[in-house]
Amino acid sequence: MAGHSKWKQIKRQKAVTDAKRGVKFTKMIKEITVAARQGGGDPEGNARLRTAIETAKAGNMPAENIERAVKKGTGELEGVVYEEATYEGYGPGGAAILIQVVSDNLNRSVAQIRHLFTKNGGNLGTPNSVAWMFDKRGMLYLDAERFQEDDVLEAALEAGADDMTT
Amino acid sequence: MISTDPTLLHSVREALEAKGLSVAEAEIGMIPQNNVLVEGKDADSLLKLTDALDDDDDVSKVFSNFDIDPETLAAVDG
Repeated sequence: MAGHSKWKQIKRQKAVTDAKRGVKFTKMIKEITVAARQGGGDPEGNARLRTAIETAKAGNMPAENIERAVKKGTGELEGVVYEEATYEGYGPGGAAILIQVVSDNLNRSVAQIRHLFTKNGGNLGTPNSVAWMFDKRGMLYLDAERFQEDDVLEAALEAGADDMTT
Repeated sequence: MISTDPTLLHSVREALEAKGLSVAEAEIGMIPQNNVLVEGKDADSLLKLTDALDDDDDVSKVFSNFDIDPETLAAVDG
């Protein structure tokens, strides 16, 4: 397994998203709205919504914005209706790419995505052409500088986690 | 990064935080079973593509199975 640089890849992907907090904010709101619409407005009974709210709080989103996004999802407040889709394809060098989309207009989204693939030397594929190569997992990130690796690993395994990468 | 069954994400988080191990970020995502080594020019355009996808307002998350060696990554990131 190519474990040596796995963390670097993840870290880079994190860095990219962190650098775009502004865009991230819009995306967090969409995620909350969609999660609330799908599984209801109570975070206790809706794991996806709970995760979305925790992420938004960690990103310092004001509580009222979170609440408004939930209400738009449940229909208590009027708002744009978002749809979800996953697109798949191959990038340069044969890497598989999985893209999760939340949009009020999927036709527009897929046209944009197709354009980006064409422009950068990739191919947008058919459903499940690459999805089977991925596993759906829960991922938790901790600051490696702040804690002892052994402490974290022990606590994580005790709580039922499977694996840890540093 | 700690990886869990998707249904255990929240309980693992609570268990860690109960021990004072604060979690910086938690999410449900797609982890590749195998990685594909991408080198040279391909690595460069692949990163351009994934960054551009990530920048798109309609895209919430991008996952890929690329494996790019640290030096190439550093060169691209400047």
